[in-house]
Amino acid sequence: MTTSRHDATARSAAAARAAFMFCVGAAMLLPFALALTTSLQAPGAPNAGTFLPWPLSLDNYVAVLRGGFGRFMLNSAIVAFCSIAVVLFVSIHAGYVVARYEFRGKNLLLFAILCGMALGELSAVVPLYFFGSRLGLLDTYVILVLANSAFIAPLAIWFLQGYFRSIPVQLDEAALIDGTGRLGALYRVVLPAAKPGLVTVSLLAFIGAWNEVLLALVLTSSEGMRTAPVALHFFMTDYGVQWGPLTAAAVLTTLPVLILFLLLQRHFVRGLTAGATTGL
Amino acid sequence: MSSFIETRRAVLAGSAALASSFLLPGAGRAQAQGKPFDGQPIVHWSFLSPEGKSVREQAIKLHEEAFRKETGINVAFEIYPFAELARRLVTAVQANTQPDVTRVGWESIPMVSKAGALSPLDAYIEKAFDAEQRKDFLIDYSPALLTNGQKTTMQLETISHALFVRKDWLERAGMKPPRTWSDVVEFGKKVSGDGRWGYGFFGGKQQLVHAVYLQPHIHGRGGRILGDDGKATFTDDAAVRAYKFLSDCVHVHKITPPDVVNMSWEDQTDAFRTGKLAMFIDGSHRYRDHARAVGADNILLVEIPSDDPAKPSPTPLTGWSMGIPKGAKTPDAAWQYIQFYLRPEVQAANARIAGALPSRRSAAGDPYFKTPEAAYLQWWLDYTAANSEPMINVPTASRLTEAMVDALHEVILKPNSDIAAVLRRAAAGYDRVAQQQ
Amino acid sequence: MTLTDTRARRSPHRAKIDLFPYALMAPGLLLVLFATLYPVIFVVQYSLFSTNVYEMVRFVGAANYVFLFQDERFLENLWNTAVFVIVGVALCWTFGLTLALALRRQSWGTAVLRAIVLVPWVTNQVVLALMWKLLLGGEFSPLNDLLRSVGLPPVNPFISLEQALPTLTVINAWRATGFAMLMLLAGLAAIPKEVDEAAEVDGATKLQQIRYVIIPMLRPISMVCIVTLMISFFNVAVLPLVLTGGGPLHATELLSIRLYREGFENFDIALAATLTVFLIAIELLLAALYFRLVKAGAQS
Repeated sequence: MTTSRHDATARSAAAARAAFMFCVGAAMLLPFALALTTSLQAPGAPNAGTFLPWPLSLDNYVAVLRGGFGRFMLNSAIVAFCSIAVVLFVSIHAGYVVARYEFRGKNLLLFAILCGMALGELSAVVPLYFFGSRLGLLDTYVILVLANSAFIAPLAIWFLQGYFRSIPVQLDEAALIDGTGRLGALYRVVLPAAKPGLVTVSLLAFIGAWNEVLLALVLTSSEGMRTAPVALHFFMTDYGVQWGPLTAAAVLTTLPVLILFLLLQRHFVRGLTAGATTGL
Repeated sequence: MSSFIETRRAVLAGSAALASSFLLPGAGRAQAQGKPFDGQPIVHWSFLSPEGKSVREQAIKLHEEAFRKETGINVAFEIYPFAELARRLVTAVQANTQPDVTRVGWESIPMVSKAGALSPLDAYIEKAFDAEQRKDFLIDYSPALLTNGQKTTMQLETISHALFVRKDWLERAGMKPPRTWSDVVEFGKKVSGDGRWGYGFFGGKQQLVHAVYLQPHIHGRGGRILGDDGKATFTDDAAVRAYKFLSDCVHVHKITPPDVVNMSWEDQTDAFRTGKLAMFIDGSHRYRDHARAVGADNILLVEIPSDDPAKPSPTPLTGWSMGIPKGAKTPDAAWQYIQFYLRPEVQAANARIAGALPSRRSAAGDPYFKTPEAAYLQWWLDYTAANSEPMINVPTASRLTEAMVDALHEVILKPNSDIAAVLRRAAAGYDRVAQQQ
Repeated sequence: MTLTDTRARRSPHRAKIDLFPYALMAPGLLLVLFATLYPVIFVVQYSLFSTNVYEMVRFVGAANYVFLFQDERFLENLWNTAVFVIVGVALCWTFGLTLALALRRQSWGTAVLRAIVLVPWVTNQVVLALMWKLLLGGEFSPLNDLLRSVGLPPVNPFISLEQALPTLTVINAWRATGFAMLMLLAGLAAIPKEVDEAAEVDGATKLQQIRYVIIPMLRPISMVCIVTLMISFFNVAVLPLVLTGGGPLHATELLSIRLYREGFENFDIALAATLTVFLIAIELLLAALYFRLVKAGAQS
């Protein structure tokens, strides 16, 4: 009968779907799972990766945190949040005028910003190191925040201008008529309406700055300024890789981003959406 | 390399000096009594911190306390990863943010000196050590450590190398310690299989430090990697034999896994420490950690084999040194600091606490080296005195290593290649680029 | 509809230059220039000299460029990078699209799965490389245990001249899949429901729907996604460095690895700068191409 055939098809489709999702999840998680299980080894275990740690122990996490890894994560957090602030400031204003105004040289400026998007950190690593050491700015939050923001800003500007465009211009006009002034229109009317877009940009900036390793590796040196990804790098010590602490630190470094993403997912996707269909 | 007899003489002289300095407490410490730099702060760049937990760092903590008590100088440590010290030093000198004294890694000395980042130390050395005393230093006066005939660093320690062998496996196989590479093959064949391997070397390109085994393999067979003019000479018969041996280990004797092409030094260390590897060449500074993992009783140290049972391969020497950056604000105080770490008793203490070989022969006269615990150190000192050479050290050392490792990859991945041709091509490629710099 | 139009409507005779847009653009422009203009000037300058570490010794004009053009290894770097980027982005986009379509509905389950897909993207590259080395490399890797259990011979892709680059490319595409998926999810969410429903009603199969309706509608976001991925892949250095170090031989030596080696291990800043100029030129070309495409797309 039709119903049961439909049911059967629906059920097998659902089963196939579930199997597919399981495979995807497994493929995505496999290396991370290995890192997780390795990190749960007891300290006496042989120094190697393993899927089956026994006995289970959180000693690696304790050791890593006691060894000052908390400080590194704090540095990463400071850099990330400051980068969010800078990126938001820069991209809100630039994105707004790109979305709402026509002016001479707009295309050229857009192209410059696109070039900014095009150049990656690798090209800037040696020059920025040189620049930083000359100005005595090496090993400060300032240069890390500036460098991270500089590479995230173009994408952020692009997204926000797309998002602003999806907000009807009548809102701005109404605000102008009310006499709020042009900046007021932006701050009081457009920004509140653009919350999902702001969340998206903030999360993008956070992920970008939190995970950034090339620039941080080169621009910081002292332990006081070190960020978490760089510290991970240095678990490959003079005496070999310490698998336990390394994987524990890796898990610790990954968790904040994941948690934030889980919490802000809906807003994030919504923000991306509006910026998605409009190009430059 | 000075002869064995000269070494003996130096050791005796050094021991006498050491003994007398204990008997006459005032004599050895005369220059420090004045405390001319009392209260002076100096900045020291290192990768080891007095607050650290490793044995080397514990030793440093003790030395720092003693130094401060004796001279009143306040040493402020700035810690950087060891692979970064050289690069940061060079840019710091140019930006005038350099420290007063810094550790320098062996492989970085030529690059850093060529970049003009270190001040020559000869004036200080002349005042502090006379010609006889200068002979006390194991490798400091080899050409590898002179830039334009000047010394820019002083070695704090010596890292020597040897063939680490699983003693328990050797005994179980009923074999004698290997003296030639054929012995290595024989023992290797007996233990390889079921996830275990006889002889290990690392071919991964993650870190270019392969000279540690390539040099003894080639030089021990009578070859030379670099000529006196700096041109690559690893194309002779000895080099071909060395490469053939390494390739045969993988393909013919099957005592080395083909994975070796992507194995890093850490992978090899892990393999030994988890009981998967019987023999490999490693450094004296790693002995204690290896011993802790597999048990000191299960490790046998053997001179690096060669094709001649009567003459083992020379062990390559490296080690950390200290230097005074150009433009340092307080070079005299910095020199005091360096001198302190050159003292035989300080080096002996490092040997005792951290298992570090001294850079001076006279330090070897310390009674610690006669204890059973230090037997392996004494063995290493003897091997070093008898048959060693500094590790190859030119400004283009990493390029050289890369050329040699690429050749090794080719020989192992394409077992039928003409080894001599591969080496010639690698040498020519290196020469071409090295000219430019 | 812009505010400029609105203002123009109200006062069409306004001839004075309005500084407002420029003032608001300025911080963004300055920040971006800081990260782009200075590096470009630096590397172009250094590429024209021979250097002693950071010191410019002698003006050599195009000598560094000539050297690279004649360097077989550089040509191999270019080829490896081309494969790595083009194939990698294509794979990544495909994976991302598949997952975006599968995880389109917003539910508790898909939220968790989306987060799972994102894990590789947010995990440190050093750790990823080490883990993959454990999983796939070596005689007793889990992969080989699996192969042995079904009677197949063991493999180690990282020591194979033919398999190393494809393996690296797939691993990197896998890593970035989360990012592609996110962007395409956003694009999918932007497709009006009516279009979706219309296609279904028309009786088209799921596959046809995807091919003829959805993918074309995803074009704008796909283009941003692809360009962003391309730029990102050009800059990937840590993952391949730890995984293979550029080996075996030069099979996985990307432009980024070569640049890192020359700049930070050989301290040949002039050569590193020259390589960077090539890298920048390629990236700018892609950017210009994208700019053109978008302009063309906006007009159509």
